[in-house]
Amino acid sequence: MPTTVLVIDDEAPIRLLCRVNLEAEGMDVLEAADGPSGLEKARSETPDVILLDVMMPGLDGWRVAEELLDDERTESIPIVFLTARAELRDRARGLDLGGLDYVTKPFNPVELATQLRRLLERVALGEREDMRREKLSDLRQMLERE
Amino acid sequence: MLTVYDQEPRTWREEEIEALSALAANASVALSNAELYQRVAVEREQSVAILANVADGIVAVDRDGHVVVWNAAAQQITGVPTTEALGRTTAQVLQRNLESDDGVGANRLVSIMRGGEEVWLSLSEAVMRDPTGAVAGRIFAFRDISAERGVEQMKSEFVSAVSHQLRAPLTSIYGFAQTLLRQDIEFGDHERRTFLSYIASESERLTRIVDKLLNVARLDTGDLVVSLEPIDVGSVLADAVATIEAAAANGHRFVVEVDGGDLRAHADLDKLRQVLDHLVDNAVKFSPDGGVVRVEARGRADAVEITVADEGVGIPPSQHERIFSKLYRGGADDGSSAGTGLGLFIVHGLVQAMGGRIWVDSEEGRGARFTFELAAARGE
Repeated sequence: MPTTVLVIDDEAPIRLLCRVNLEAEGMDVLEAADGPSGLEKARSETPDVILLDVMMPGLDGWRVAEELLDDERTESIPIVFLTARAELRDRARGLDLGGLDYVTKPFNPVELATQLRRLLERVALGEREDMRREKLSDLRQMLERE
Repeated sequence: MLTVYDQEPRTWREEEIEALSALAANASVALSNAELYQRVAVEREQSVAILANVADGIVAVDRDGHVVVWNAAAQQITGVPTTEALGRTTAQVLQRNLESDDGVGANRLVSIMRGGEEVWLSLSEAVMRDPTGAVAGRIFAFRDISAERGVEQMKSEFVSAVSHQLRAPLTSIYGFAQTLLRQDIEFGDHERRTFLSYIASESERLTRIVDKLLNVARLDTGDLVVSLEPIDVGSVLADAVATIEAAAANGHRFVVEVDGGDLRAHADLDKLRQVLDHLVDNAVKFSPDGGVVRVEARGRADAVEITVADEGVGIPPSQHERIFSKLYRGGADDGSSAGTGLGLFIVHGLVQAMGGRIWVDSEEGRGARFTFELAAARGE
């Protein structure tokens, strides 16, 4: 069964970028243009992974993530944050919240599929918490160096 | 020289000459001492005057760390009166040691509390040694740099907010370029055109953001060039609305109401368009559920008043002043909503540059009315 990715981002070109490049690698792509419809789609379609934009008007990415993790229907879906906020503090925030990874804008969409596939492999091996801990400790080290 | 006379000329006895020499010597020493004391007193006066007038805080402590000098500037910067500080240690007076752990030298950044407020000091320290080389005391000199630090912090927040804004259009441009470069997919003509259009339109968006920043920079340095001439406000309004209407999405309805009569005002056409474009853009953006956007122009005694009103989310009165400042962005405080937060700052600056003023009438949930006025150019 192909991997299903739900892309939640308020900008149409970003959604298109993800769709074209992920479908080219055999993944199925669902789209949502805002938080509320993203939540709805996540609950009804249970995708394998969610790409979540942080800076959206209305219900922002952080709050969407909290709701996804609060709901037993969606709490186990890995979340990858899409963020223009490249600062370490913001990346750490996403991981602290329960996200598993982040992609900073601008990103190379051609590499997106590989990144997602690797993530899902480690999740399948039960390495969710290891991943988060590794990334958080990397970030903490970088923050200390600042 | 000491000259002594007797009533009758006579020969002086040995012991008399000795005593007189001793007296002369003592008198001479006393005189030099007096001169010395006077010089010291004068120099002391000068030092006191210098210390009192120098802008830096100067604090000197003796070998036991007790304050012996606490000048007027130190009093003013720390908020601790000289009388209270003398005789105590800096730790007692400022709740922190001014002495550094690793030795003296170049300026250190040190923070102290002044009446509940954190104050940042740029501090330098020098050690005074006695002839044996032991520490006889220390002298500190410091300046209050809290204001500069505040500005530095604002600048870095501004730079950070701007960098986020620039990344958004860059993502599309970079992303579609990379996508088109993929060797493993054959894109159809239609797809290729779509991607290339996005690259083009997002580049334009990027340019607009950069222009906005230039405007902000020019407003900051006062380099803005405004050329005023009599302009018919009514027709400019109609133009601005027509442009937005063509691009609008969410089912907004636009109403333009222009008073009859002469609505010419002293304005810079390009700047006026920028102001209107931004206000109408905002009206659409902040009324996501649609509704009516009214653009009105009316003549007053010496001015032409223009209003842009929406039926959207509104602005609480507590924010009415802040919204025209540099980093204000409507919506969540963590900056999660779109927009640079610079628009109203620029609008405010442009209106002022044209000699006008702008204000807002709004309540949360009840829409917003932005009104600005420009000097009338009637009969010119």
